Amino acid sequence: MTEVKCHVPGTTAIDATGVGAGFKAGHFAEIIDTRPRVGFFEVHAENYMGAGGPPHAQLERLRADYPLSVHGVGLSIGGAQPLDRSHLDRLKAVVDRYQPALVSEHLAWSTHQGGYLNDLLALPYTQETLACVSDHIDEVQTCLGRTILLENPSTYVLFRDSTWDEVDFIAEVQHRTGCGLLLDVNNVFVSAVNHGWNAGDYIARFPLSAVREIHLAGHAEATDDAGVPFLIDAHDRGIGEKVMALYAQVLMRTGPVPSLIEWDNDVPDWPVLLAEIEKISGALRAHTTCLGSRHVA
Amino acid sequence: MWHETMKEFDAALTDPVRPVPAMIEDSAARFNVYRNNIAVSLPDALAETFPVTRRLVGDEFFYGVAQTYVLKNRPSSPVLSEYGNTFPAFLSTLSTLEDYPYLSGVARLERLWLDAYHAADANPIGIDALARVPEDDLDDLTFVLHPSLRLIQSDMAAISIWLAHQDTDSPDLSGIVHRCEQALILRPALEVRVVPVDAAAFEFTACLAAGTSLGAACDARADDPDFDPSRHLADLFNAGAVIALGDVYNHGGGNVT
Repeated sequence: MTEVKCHVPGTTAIDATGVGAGFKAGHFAEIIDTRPRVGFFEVHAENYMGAGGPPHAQLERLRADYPLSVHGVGLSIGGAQPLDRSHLDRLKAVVDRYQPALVSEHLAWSTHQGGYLNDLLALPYTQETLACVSDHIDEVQTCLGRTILLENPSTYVLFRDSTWDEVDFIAEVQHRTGCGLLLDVNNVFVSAVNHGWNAGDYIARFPLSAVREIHLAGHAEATDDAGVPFLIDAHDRGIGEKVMALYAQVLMRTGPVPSLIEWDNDVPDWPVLLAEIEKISGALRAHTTCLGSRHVA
Repeated sequence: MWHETMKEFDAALTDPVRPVPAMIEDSAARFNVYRNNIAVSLPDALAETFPVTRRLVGDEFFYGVAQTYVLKNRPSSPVLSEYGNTFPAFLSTLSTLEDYPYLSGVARLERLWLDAYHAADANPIGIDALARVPEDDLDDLTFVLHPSLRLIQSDMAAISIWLAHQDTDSPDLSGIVHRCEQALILRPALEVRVVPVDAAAFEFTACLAAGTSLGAACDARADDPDFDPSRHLADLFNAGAVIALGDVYNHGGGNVT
């Protein structure tokens, strides 16, 4: 397997036992005033693509105290069309400016014929999309001059023409491109329920040695129009017990990996999010004593 | 092949009666999750950019209009803070909004406000910079205005209506006279300011922003009884709208060469 290198000179590394949260502007003052023990903050790259103003002022300040992770949501890596070079240039500008410890994107598509659909859409897993995704990741990594992490998706539909299993597909993309992986445990759980997969089996087969970050989030339970229950990757609440249990299974195999809480909708007050960070920290630390830790640096 | 499926997927996303793409294994019930995401998330993005516009017409009406808009006007990039440039003009075409003649103006102000919020940073200079300009050179002097500066003119009191909503969600609008108003929108530091100005100051600022020299900008307004270049210039500096003197005086308040 290709070696995964994530060290970038000048960045503040994220400790393997670091637990972070998606940064929300509404929490900024409290974070700066109280300097809570948080392993890192992650931002959506697209929120920092303006020329100036308060977003950049906040991020510059936050970066002085905490390691950063930049998470792109708009590159449409899974799309059939060429990457939007101007968007890739914008991402490069954000990455160059903030030199984050981690940069990640999604195994999904979001743009078609020039229009942005503001969602992370599913793709079939075929030889054709394998080539698309691998070429796109190569292009991103070449442009940025560093490896990125690819995140496994949460999906609601499957494609008849898929010839690859999702885990095998991700492993092959990782092998071809040398990218790192971002394992979203909530996404595994959501997709497993939605498609009748075994989440434990998914984790067991996942190329865990390439995982450099873990995402955790809350999901919503829903019933589709046909009356069948399914899950929505809602990011609107704390992390449920079943996802916590799956997270523990991952840590048993990987040892500590930087872990991040995504709480993007119905965002709580900072103390609530901090309590959630501490809950995850406890779970993560419980795995540091018995297993060697892996540093991202 | 994948491109064909994407095309079908995309077409079905915004058309609820269209069958789901043939390559999708699951029922329409599942595909509808994606349909719902699009139908909700883009209007949500507009609601964030146009909060006063939304308050003025109420959630139900705003979201109805926004859903129509997003179907015809997809974001051209994933940077959603740039989305909705044509939304104010779209509002002005809707006959259902006849009771809100100021709505499009309020939306225009909100769009410009967000542009100013994300514009490049620059440090304003003080009016004392003018003291270093020889009097004979004043006529030819040009100004570099703040990159965040936007100008707005509205004939239906949109600026007063927007300002009235900054302190309370439901202000009393009965005293507002529907007349022509102007404002400068700019962000000299981290806070966006909306500065109401009279027509003479507005025109003068627009001239200077276009790179017109001070002398020519004054000549253009010579017949206007409200025109007072000293006052307008002082107001412009006080608002933080000037970041450098132009041409040979382009040292941002430093020594004149």
